[in-house]
Amino acid sequence: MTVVEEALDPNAIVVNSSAKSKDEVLKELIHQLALAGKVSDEAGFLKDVYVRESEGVTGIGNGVSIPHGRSVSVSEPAVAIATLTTPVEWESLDDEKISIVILFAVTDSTEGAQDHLKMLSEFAKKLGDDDVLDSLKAAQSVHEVIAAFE
Amino acid sequence: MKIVGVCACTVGIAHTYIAQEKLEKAAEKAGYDIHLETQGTIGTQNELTPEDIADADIAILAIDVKIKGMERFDKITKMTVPTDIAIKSPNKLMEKAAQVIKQRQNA
Repeated sequence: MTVVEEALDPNAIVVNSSAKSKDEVLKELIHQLALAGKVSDEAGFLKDVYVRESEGVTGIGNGVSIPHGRSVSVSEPAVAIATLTTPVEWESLDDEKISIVILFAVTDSTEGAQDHLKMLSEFAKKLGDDDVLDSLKAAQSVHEVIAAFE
Repeated sequence: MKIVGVCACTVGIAHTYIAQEKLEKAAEKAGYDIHLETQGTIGTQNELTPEDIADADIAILAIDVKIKGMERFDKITKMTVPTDIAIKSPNKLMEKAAQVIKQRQNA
């Protein structure tokens, strides 16, 4: 399996979400991660994501944000992605609204999770490539979202 | 121009590696040689050797937290910025690095 296939559970990808706010999209993605068995306590993880939000901006520019949280409510490191039909307000480096949200769920302990965490970091590195972000914005299906990273 | 550096962010899973990729891409575009160490949740990767640092013209530290081995950069010209700056303006950072080196050479 490639890094991308391993990192991205198709069940945790939402294409053309109709979420109207940062809070709505976070809740939607956390719910998907819970359904995929990666998050045990949705409210607990949401709280930890907001702790990280309070520490600094997670909008990386170009309409993309990367909220993340380290939490005891995460049972296995994972990533969830939403593309939004309507961009939402979000603190970002270039003050643009956000149309792509990539949520990283990180376990509180690194024990037994090294491989998954390494995979997440390799996945994060791809987000530094503008070509990947452009493909991601154009994606209209789960398959195209995954393909954007390959 | 030869650049070394370290990327490290608070959670150590996302910004560290995005900053690394952005800086590597910007350096490549500018025709500079770059070697970046990352210190994240999974530990240190791509670790710099003393020789790497001794051979470099400048160090770029894109860090939001205290890093291990800060003293390695005591004797080298360095720029320290938050990872946000590396992610937002990697090309400007390369220009700035070139300026800093030029100023030092003229001093």
